[in-house]
Amino acid sequence: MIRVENVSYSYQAEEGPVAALTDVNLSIERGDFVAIIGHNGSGKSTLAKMFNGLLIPSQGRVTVMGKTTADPEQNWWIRQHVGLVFQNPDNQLVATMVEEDVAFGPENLGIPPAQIRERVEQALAQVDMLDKRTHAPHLLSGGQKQRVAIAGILAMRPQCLVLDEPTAMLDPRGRREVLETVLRLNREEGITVIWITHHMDEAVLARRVVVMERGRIAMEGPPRAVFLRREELQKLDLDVPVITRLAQLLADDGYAVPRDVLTVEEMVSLLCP
Amino acid sequence: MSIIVSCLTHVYSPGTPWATVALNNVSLEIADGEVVGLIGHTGSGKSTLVQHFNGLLKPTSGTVIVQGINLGAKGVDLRTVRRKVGLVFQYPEHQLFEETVAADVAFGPRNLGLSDAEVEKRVRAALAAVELDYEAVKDRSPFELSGGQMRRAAIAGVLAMEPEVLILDEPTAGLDPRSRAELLGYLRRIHRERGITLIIVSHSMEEVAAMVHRIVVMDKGSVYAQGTPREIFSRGTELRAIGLDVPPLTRLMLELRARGMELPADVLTLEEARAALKACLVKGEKQ
Repeated sequence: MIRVENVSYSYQAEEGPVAALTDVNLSIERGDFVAIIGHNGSGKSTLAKMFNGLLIPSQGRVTVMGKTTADPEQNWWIRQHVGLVFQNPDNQLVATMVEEDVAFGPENLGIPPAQIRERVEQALAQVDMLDKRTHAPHLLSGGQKQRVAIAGILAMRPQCLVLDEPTAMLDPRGRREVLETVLRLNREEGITVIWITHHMDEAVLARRVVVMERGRIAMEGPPRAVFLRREELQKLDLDVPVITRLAQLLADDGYAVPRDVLTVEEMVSLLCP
Repeated sequence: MSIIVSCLTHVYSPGTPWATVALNNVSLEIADGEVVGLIGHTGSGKSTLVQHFNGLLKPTSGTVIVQGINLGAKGVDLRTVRRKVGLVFQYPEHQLFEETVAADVAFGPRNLGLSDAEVEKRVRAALAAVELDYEAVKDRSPFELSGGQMRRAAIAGVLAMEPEVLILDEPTAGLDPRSRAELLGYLRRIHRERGITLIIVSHSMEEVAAMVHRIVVMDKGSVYAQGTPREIFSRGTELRAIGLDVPPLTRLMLELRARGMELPADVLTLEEARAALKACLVKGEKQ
């Protein structure tokens, strides 16, 4: 679906060029759910903007279903297929009514009104916001706003959603809403998801975790495999999920607990079968 | 007593169709030098409450007494109160505006009419408290700093006022795990060294649990519960019901207890969980 090949990127600062990405290789398959973790400045957001051609590599190339993002002719096509959701929902909502906001993207694609209506309705249903269609976006909660922003992308019928810390500004309830919505889109509708986050408990839900550090991919693999490498993660000041850490401590103490338990639910069924 | 809130009610847009009761008859006392975590989900009233602590909002009814000053009394000089009570808003870096970091941090103390030497002393101390190197950042534009550094510079601006009470609204929101841990470390040290009263507003119990004496849980404009982190954590099931996130270890203990395992409900740390489970698992084997 998306291939990142030998990609390097640097931007101009006053002191000269700064390398944000160095020789990154990554392949995202259709239907994948990939979590990208790493500290601020590790290059995760730069990488996110590579996936739909918002940034073009200084070296190497990014292709979306075979089309290179460096080709300006493919710009529209690529952005329609790979939608980007940002951290702050307030910066992404433009209209005075929820359904108008969701219609903004398809309108710009020149889609006939009848079809737009259908798409808007479907997209709002997908994020469970159909009952708020005539509401003013600025009066919604953070989680609801972020779901409307996601609906706006879904109305373009993308194959892939890239979400750059979509829960960073939300409270626990909002976080849960957005996370559950995106998980459902991935599992039930087969939408490819790239989820950038600081929260390890969100990363455990992904099929694959990519750890970024200083513009490079430091680690990559299924969450179980990545979170087993606790010492390497610690060197990067990243924690393993607390439940995984507990499992590892109990295993150290000689109990028959696997070292790669990820969630509370898993731990409960292990200890209380 | 640092802050005494009695029967405080606050209504936004009173007398209009949009009237909203944000605080409903809240009474609360915060002692000098105490560290309090104010927890609640969005709309629970926690931000409204702290904006009363330095007179930014006026009570619709009830009283707020801060460091002996009744904020509702006639002729109260709110500037005096704001000098004593520093409020760091959410995303305080959005309020940086000066050309250099030093000028930005100096803005408050300069407005107090302090001498240049005193202002510089305070700026140096405030930047040191959040581990920004004075010489390295003083002439830089605050907007060239990293996100975490900008947050720290903004907090330094409030610290330079040398408040007796420091209130921070979601101080770690949007920071990465490394910056989050660092910032909490600075706050702990500031409390230890300056002995100030610290009030941290957050929707994450987990984050404040390790550093506060007391947690106050807000829900629907009222104080829902208060107590030591241990007391509050043991009420995890109720807290989940009002939309708060309970830390994973607490949730694990609650789930296991619900399935009949004999475990304490007030586990706070990884080591406590480990010890509790060990005791329990050994018992299981003996049976």
